[in-house]
Amino acid sequence: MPSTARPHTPPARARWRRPSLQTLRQFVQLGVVGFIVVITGLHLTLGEESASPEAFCPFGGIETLYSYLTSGRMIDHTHLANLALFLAVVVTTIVARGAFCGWICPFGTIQEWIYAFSRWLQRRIPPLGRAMSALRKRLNPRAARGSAVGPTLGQRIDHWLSYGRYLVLAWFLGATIAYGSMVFRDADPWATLLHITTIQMSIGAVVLGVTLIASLFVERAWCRYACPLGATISLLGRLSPLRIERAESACTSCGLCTQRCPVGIDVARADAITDLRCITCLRCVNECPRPDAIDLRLALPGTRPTATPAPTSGD
Amino acid sequence: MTTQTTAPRARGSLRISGLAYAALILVLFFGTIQVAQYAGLWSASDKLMPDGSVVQLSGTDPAEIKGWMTIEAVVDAYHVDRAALYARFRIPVETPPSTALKNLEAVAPDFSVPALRTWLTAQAAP
Repeated sequence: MPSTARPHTPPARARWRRPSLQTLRQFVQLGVVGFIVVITGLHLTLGEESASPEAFCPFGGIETLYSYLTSGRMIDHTHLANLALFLAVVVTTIVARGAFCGWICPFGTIQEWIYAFSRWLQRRIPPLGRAMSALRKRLNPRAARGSAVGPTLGQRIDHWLSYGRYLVLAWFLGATIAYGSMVFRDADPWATLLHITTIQMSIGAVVLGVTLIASLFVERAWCRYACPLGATISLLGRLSPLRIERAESACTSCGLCTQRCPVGIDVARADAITDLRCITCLRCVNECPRPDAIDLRLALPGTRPTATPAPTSGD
Repeated sequence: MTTQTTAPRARGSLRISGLAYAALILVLFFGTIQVAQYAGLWSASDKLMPDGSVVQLSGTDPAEIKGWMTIEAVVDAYHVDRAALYARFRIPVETPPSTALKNLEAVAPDFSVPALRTWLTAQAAP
């Protein structure tokens, strides 16, 4: 029998939601991905007469930096634009920490989209959603219980795997200097993705496939475990005076910040997020239900957050 | 009843708004690129110089050879015998001289741009 109750229609003012900072971030990400798609399309159409999409990867700047400084030459498949972009990443990172990864990197954006698609699928397909939820609870019981002592199994695995990107960085730096060529290009999932129309079975294709599939289960899998540019940014980011700080006195320990972190940082148990994995996407800041519990602050690198006065009352 | 509390930092750090941070990122990143372009540190194509002119082979430094260049351009610039080049890399004789070097690997497994550079260097040596 149909209900006779009048459907609830929220007033127009209530329906409109002010665009959040995350909307702005996604807009920037979309713009960068769109730019790369256009450049790639033009290159496919016009060939060498147009800009190479590989020229817009700052990682190429790292790869050719040694050759450029020692001989004045760029190694194959790199351009002056790669060096300029790497310089831009260095400047941005020294001031604004991991902002390039969180706000600009198109490969990180694509992984975010894939993970968002996975979450959408999990909502649409209940058995899949239940299976993924069970897996998450097994690996991260904190998400279910709200609090726990010590890192969870999932966090420990994530932490150890995160050193993988430093190994990749060390390997490629040594090999590039030794051989004077882009040794990483054959395994680079981003370079492979840029040449997706002519893709062949190769190490790069396998790495790309594994990365995209892993992104269905782990947000930003490549960024977390293998990205050498991310490793470089992490190390440079230590110089940045900007960091996210959490005020213990205002925090309700709801754990939302930890749950929303795209790179798996346990934000809810830190005073200052100096974790090298932080990409400063500010999701934790935006998700926090308490306005002053967590925010972005300007502080001297290496200093500890100052103690916050106890609240006069709390919930 | 609960009261909304705030937790002001006593000293030592300054709060930065998200919008200011977003503006800072965009200005730093794209501003640096803009400065690099003004300084001439910008070229996104192997075929074009920073001033927009097409790269020309000098004929003196094989390191300048790129995959988009043609057999003909290399032969003309380095004054090498085309038949010798074809024989050295076992390039099929019916391959037109207008073929780009990067397309040769598909028809001549012995060919690669680095190998061509090495060969040209050896040819130029006294």
